[in-house]
This record gives sequence, C-alpha cells and structure tokens, in this order.
Amino acid sequence: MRLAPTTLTDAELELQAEVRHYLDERLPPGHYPLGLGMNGARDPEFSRDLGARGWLGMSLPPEYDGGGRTAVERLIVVEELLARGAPIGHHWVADRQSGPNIAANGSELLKKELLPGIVRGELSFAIGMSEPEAGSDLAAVRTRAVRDGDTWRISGRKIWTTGGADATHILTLVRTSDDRHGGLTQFVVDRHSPGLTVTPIPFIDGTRDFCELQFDDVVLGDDRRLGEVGAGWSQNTGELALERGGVDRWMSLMPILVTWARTAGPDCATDLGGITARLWAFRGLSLSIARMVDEGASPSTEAALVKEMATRFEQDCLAVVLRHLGRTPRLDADDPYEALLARAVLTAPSWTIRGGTNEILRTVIMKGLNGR
Amino acid sequence: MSDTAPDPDLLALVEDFFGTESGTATIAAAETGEFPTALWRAADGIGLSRIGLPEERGGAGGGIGDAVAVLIGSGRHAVPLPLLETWTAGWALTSAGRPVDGEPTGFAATAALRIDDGRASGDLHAVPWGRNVSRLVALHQDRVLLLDVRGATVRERTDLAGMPADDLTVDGTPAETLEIAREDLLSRAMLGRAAQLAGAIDAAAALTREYTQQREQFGRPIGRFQAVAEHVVLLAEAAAMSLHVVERAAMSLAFREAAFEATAAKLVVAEQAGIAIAAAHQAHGAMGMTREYRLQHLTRRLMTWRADLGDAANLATRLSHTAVAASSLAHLITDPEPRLEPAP
Ligand SMILES: Cc1cc2nc3c(=O)[nH]c(=O)nc-3n(C[C@H](O)[C@H](O)[C@H](O)COP(=O)(O)OP(=O)(O)OC[C@H]3O[C@@H](n4cnc5c(N)ncnc54)[C@H](O)[C@@H]3O)c2cc1C
Repeated sequence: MRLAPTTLTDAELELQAEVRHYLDERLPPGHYPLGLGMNGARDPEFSRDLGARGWLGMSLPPEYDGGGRTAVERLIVVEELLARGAPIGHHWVADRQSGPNIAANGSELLKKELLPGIVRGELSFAIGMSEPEAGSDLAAVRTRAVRDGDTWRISGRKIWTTGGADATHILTLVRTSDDRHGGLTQFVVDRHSPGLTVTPIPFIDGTRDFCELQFDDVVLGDDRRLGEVGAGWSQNTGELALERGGVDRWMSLMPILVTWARTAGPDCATDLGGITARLWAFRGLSLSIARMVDEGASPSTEAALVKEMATRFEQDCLAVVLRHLGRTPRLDADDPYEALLARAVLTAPSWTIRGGTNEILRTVIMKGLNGR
Repeated sequence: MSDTAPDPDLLALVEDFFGTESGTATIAAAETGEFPTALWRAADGIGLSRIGLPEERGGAGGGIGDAVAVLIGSGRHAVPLPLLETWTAGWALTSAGRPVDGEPTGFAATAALRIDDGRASGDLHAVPWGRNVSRLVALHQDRVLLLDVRGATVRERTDLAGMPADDLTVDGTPAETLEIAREDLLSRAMLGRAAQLAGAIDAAAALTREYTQQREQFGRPIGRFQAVAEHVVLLAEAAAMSLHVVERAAMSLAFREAAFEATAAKLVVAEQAGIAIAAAHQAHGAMGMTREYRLQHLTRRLMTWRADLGDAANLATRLSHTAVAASSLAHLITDPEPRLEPAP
C-alpha cells in the first residue's frame, strides 16, 4: 500500500488563504457555538453562506449547480472549518456523502431536484443505515420496502440516525428482497413523509441529535429510489469509503489542541511535539487519499486504515490534554474550550464506533491486504 | 505539485540486489565483526553507496528521493553496510565542494573534541562502523568537521543489531571545517535513518503477514484469529504511515531545508517502530525470538535506530517549541513550508 505524498498547488493554496480570510471574519472567536469536528452545531444560515461562496457540494457536477471541483479542494475548505470547530451540522452529511452518492447513482430527476439545494446549503441529510438488529452487520437490515405499482411501501425501524429530527431528507438503506446483499436498495425519504416518526434518543452528553426513525407504511414514489433495485449494498459501501479517509477523522479536537498549544508550558513539550508530528502525518495521509480520489482511484482500504489509526489518535490526544489539565473539565464551564473538552470526554468513545467500528475496519483492512 | 518519486528501475534494482545479496548468512557473518567487503564493492559498483550525490563530485547522480529509496531498501533487507553514514557524509562533502570516493565514510552525530589549529583531539562515542572508515564527518558544536580517523584508537563495540558502533579516540588528527549548516546535515541524517526504519517496519509487516498465513494452531492459520489479524493490521498501518512521512519529508528536502518535516518524520517513524516491534514479535511467538529466524535482523535494527539522532523527547521538544511559536497549530500542520524554530 502506497500513500503517495502530495503538495498543494498555488491555486489550492490561494483557496486556503481565501477560506481562512473569510472564516476569520465570518466566525470571530467567541461568537459562534464551538463544535467537535463533524459534530459541529447546526446553523442553516452559516451553511447557506458557505453555499453562496461555492464551498458546498464542491465536487458535484456543474450542470446541477455543483462546483465541479476536486476532493482536494473540498479537503482544504473542510479542514479550515473543523480547525475552528465551525457550525457545520446542517450541511455536513449532505456535503460529505449524500450529495456525491446522489450524483453518482441518482436519476436525472433526483439529481435535478436535490443537488442544487445541497450546493446552496439548504438541504440537510441524515443517514438511515443502522437498525436495532443491524449495526456492524449492516447486511442484516430488515426495514422493508415492498413494491406496490409505481410506489413503494416502507415499514421498519432505523436507529442511531444522527440529525434525523432536523434533517430535510433521510437517505436510507432498506430491504427489497431476501438476498442478503443483493436485496438492499437505497431511497431518499422526505423527513416529513406521512408515516415517518422521528424520535430523539438523548445522547450521552445530553444533546438530542441522535434519533430513531419509525417507518409505518411510508409510501414513496418509485422516483425516490436511488440507483437500481438491489444496488444498495455496493452504493452504501462506496458511501462509507467517502466517510472514512477524511480530515474529520483526526480533527474532532482541533480547536482544543490549537488553544492548548498556544499556552502549553515546558512540561507539555514532549506531548505537544509528539501530537504536532502526528497531526502533520495524518494531514498528509488524508491529502494523499483525496488526491488519489481525484486521480480516479477508489482507495477504500487506505481510507479504512487512516480512519482506524486516526480515531485512536484522537482519543490519545484527549487523554494527553486531560492529563495536563489535571482535573475533570466542566460542561458548564464559562470557558467555552473547557466546556468543549468536557463534551469531548463524554463523546470520545463514539469516535471509534461511528462510521464503522475499529474492529470492523481492521477486518476491512485485512481483506484489502489479502486481496492485493 | 512536484514528483520526487524514485525511478521505478532503481526501485527494482534495489529490491533485486539487496534481496539477493543481503541474506541471513551475510548479515550473520557481518555480526562476527568482519566487514562485508565484497557486498560493499558490489553495492558501490552499481552506485548504491553514492546515489543522490552529484556526478561531477564522484556521486552516482539522482535526487534525494533516489537516495531515500536505497535507504528504505537497505532497511527492508537489513543490509549490513554503512550506507546511511556514507550517504550523509557524502552529502556533507559534496555540498562543501569536495569529492566522494566510493569508500565507506563515517558519520558521528556527537563529538567531544578540542580543536587546535586544524587538529582535533578527544572522543567520539558509538560511531557506527567506526573501525571500518578512514574518515568521517562529525557534528561538533555548531560546526561540521571532516576528520581523518586512520590513527584513531578504536574501542570496538556493537549496537543492539550486532553492527559496529565503536568508541574512537583521536589525538591531534587533521580536522577540516566543512562550510555547510549543521541543521541541514542533521535533517538529512534524520531522514535517512527514518527511511531505514520505514523499510525495516515494512519488511517486518510483510514477514508477519506471511508467517501468520502459514503457521497453524487449533487447526487453522493463526492469521484467521481476529486477535492475531490485529497485529498484522497494526504493522500494515505502521508501514503505510512510515513510508508516507519519509517520502513526504524527502519531497520537501528536495526543494528546501525542511528541518520541520525531517524532525516530524523521524519522530513519527520512531514511534511506529515501537508499535511494529511489539506487534511483529507477538504474532510470531517464540519463533521470532531466535537468532535463526529473520525477524530479529529487522527488529534489532528498529530497536537500535529509533532513538538515533535524537530520541523522542529531544525531537518532540523542538517541534513543541515550533508549535507554541506558530500563529496556530492548525496553520503549522497545513503550512506548505513550515519552519522549525531554533532550539531554545
Ligand atoms: C455517534 C454515532 C453516530 C452515528 N450515526 C449514525 C447515523 O447517522 N446513521 C446510521 O445509520 N448509523 C449511525 N451510527 C451507528 C453506527 O454505524 C453503528 O454504531 C456501528 O456501525 C456499530 O454498530 P452497533 O452500534 O450496533 O454495534 P455492534 O455491531 O453491536 O458492535 C458492538 C461491538 O462488537 C464489535 N463487533 C461486532 N461485530 C464484530 C465482528 N464481526 N468482529 C469483531 N468485532 C465485532 C464491534 O466492533 C463493537 O465493539 C452512529 C453511531 C454513533 C456512535
């Protein structure tokens, strides 16, 4: 496995400077809710502002208002956002994976209907994959879509749906036949479809972003189907690859690390130096993967490898920062960075679970190694 | 974007040559203290000891990416030759306008010397291949010196891999200052060592994967047990990350003095070496603990090299100083040309 090093071109560096300049003004410190990486707050207005600048749906095709730009350019925008703990919650899922999935597999109708809204930052997607009996073993999905003329009737239960309550759309994976892998199909469901009940599941830190979705005979037109009947599993696998190798897998703590580095005393030197070197290394790995994607490769083993290492690294960083703090951070601290650190303490165990657990990723990596 | 990836023909040549010539017997023979002269001559004959150095000064041509490819290969095959030392010293010599000659040349990262009127006296500790070189490049305070060590008193010692790491005492030997920056030389030495470490990690990963596919217990290959597969994955991760950071630092050093990248790469690779040693041995069981089996040639080198040219605390302190001084840690790690702050 080779993750070739790459550097940014002058044009890419210009984009980086432009994004920095804009965000310094748009998000002055202390004037926005700090978030932990991809768990950033929801702020539809901020998402629309980014959309207006062409920084959402960057790699989507121009004929659907997309930027027609590269994975590397998207990475440049995303890393600036995550470094600040920016409020990206409204558009995050659509920008990272639903948009590209729809662009790759959607009908002309779906693309025309949904992509422009994703690019503008108006639409918000949630991922309805997991079910009570289908977590790591996603192919055990039971929620069923039964064809009824030109429509489908969906019944079943989805769980752990991040952002399910506030999303405008759910991109879900359901069973259309008994064939374990070949019987799965993806659909785009309007969040307000009759028969769909969304119930928040209070998360460990008290937030209410985690949801359960109950489908009671939800009727969907066949035009809501994403891709061929039975193609859901492979589309879903492609989507997971988009989910995995990015900078979001090692940047959750970035606002905290930036603040810590500013004030770190000599007793922190060994730890801070080690973290600096590893951040630099992971940044190179994510950039390398983005460049591979732009060159037409699909580096899914590489992405799994980076995620497996990076999420453990994030947890290591948290332990280090806590050791130097020397006490339990408070959720209700006046200092927003301390409050954020407290949320990190509560939610960090999920970093090695969400998007595929590290145990499952290791199996994916092993298969990739043996397949070569 | 710049591609400093090594020439594919060179990669094939390196693999083929070291793969054939640096077998277990050759490595074991070198551990008895006998310099593998034939191997050195053969390697030098195809330019491997002078790669990445300018032809007009006696080098074999090519860029730093090529030199790094040779050093990665030398780590992968545990080659018992002073290739890193000769390349590092050769870079110092050619950068200072001197020629290189094809003979093994030493490199000493620390020296306690007195310099009087162009003559040096004092001690050089744990000099790799000290007994086998007639001259060496040494870092002495802020300076880079070229020392004639033909008359040195040698106390023969070995490192954990069984390779020469001798204490030398010189008394009034000719010493010339090479007009190059100490920091730049150190960056190359660190990169070179990191390259060898990355190569050895990569080889340990491959060997472990192979072994766990063949060794059977409880009626099946041990690699089928998830707990064992986890070791194999940790090794693959260590190899992928190490090779990546080494290539990346080499790419930077091809265009400018990239002390930050060299330091960060060395620190990252040294840490991955620790992970690789533990995982490879655990997956091999007792087999890996014997001198008869190849793994120890790799892991003993990892054990020796990881703290070379600055241990983790030392390198981390420099990076930490840079991180504190940066406008933002996030900017530092995305900076296309990060600058290492001078040591406090
Ligand atoms: C913060 C967060 C956000 C999430 N957001 C979403 C979302 O938006 N949409 C969505 O669909 N899902 C979401 N998920 C669900 C997530 O995809 C699942 O949690 C994950 O796939 C694991 O499934 P599980 O929780 O059922 O655990 P299980 O599959 O029950 O696993 C429990 C433990 O057993 C281990 N295990 C299971 N099988 C194996 C095996 N074969 N070999 C070795 N170990 C095994 C796992 O690694 C884990 O350690 C989210 C999860 C979290 C924590």
